[in-house]
Amino acid sequence: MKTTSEAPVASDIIEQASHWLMLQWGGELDKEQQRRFAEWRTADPEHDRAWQRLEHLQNTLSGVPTDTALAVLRELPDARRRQTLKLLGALLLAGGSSYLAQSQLPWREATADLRSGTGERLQRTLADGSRLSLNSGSAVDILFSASERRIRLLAGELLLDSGHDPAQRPLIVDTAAGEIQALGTRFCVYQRDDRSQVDLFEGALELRPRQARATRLQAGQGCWFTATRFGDIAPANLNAIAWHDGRLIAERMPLGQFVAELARYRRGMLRCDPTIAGLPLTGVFPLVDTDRVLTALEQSLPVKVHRLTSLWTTISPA
Amino acid sequence: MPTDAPLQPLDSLYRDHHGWLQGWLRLRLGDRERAADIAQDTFLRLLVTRRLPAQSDGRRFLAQIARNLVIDQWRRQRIKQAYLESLAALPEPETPSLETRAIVIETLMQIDAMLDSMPAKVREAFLLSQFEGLSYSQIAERLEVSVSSVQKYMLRAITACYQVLYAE
Repeated sequence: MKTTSEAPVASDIIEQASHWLMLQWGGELDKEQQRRFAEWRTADPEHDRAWQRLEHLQNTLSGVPTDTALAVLRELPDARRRQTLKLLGALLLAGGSSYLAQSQLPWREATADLRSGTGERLQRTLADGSRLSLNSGSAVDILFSASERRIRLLAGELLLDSGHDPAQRPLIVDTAAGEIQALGTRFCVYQRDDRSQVDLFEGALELRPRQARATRLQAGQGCWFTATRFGDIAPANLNAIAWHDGRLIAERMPLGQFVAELARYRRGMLRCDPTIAGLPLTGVFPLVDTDRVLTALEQSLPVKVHRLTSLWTTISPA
Repeated sequence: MPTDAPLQPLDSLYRDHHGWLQGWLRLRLGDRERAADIAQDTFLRLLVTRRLPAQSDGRRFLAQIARNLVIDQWRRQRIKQAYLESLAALPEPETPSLETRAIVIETLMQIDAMLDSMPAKVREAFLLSQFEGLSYSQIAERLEVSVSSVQKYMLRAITACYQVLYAE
């Protein structure tokens, strides 16, 4: 195979070559034209290189059966195709120019009263004696006033052991989805996109979505809600607070789900090949060293961990 | 690995903006998984091309790449769908292998990009010549222009194709 150098070809030479190609596409060259074309092509190695590129172009065009090409490329009227593309482009561009507004959330997280970095877990005792724990990558504002104790979950996950307040001010966790009022309890809230997952271990809670009727949760129950609706009430997931002790517990958990969980505690990307995402995994894993967890995975499952860069890890079948 | 040093800016770019990019895409696509995939592909593209933005321009730069990826994906989806529909019309034994299909879809993407960069008349002349096998004088008749105009159109078409294949 001939190797064509990657260096660009001068544009005037490309123009000459294009002219020859245009003539060839128009029909057979006559004897005189053929002679002149051969002359041109051998006059300079650059001419030949330009021509090779145009031959590659011709190969590309003939790489598709013509009836297929016509069926596909003519499938939409051209004008419509281009217009839709432009519209889509404009939509996305509009987003690009207004990103200052979008960055509001990260800014709020950055200025939060309390925040935890990736892989970090924090515990604080609040003024009323409540014990607050933040999981990896979480942020809260703590807004205690004379009339209420409000904790705003800006991102991530918290576990709250509510203390007894002599002034009996209500204790409220505020999320994008709504309010959760504690009635003497220990519970966990995980905010993900517009959804709050709540698991209750002691006491009772009232969940108040922003745009739906409130509901109550009893000890041992869990459910998610958004601003407008609730998921089904299910048994509280005890594993969900294992992070509090720095552990990740898996009980026949599909590998894909496990990897998604583990990814919360690592910087960078952690991906799992879909073909092995269903492998069941059981074990208790320490969160302090996720690299060790990955090594352990290789020992217990038929998988291979690839560390492409410090920020890029994928897991594939062994 | 010796490749670690030049990747340092990518690391900080990732730290500073990956979360933002994912949120930005999610807002626009309304699909968390797709947003995560495209955010990943955006950084993959940077990793492969080694092109990095100026310090102050990170988000705009990432958004531009992500936007191109979304449009590409959207085009690929349309082309794939149209292609599979055209295959459905074929009798069973003529159905091409999966590998052939992948190559054809890739090629169709390239040709589509070429067509997209041509003005309407140029595109029409190009399609008639290359895919319907018409001669320049037939095309001239069809488009009601002179043969020398058709030649000009074809030259422009070749230039447009060349740009798609070899543009820097």
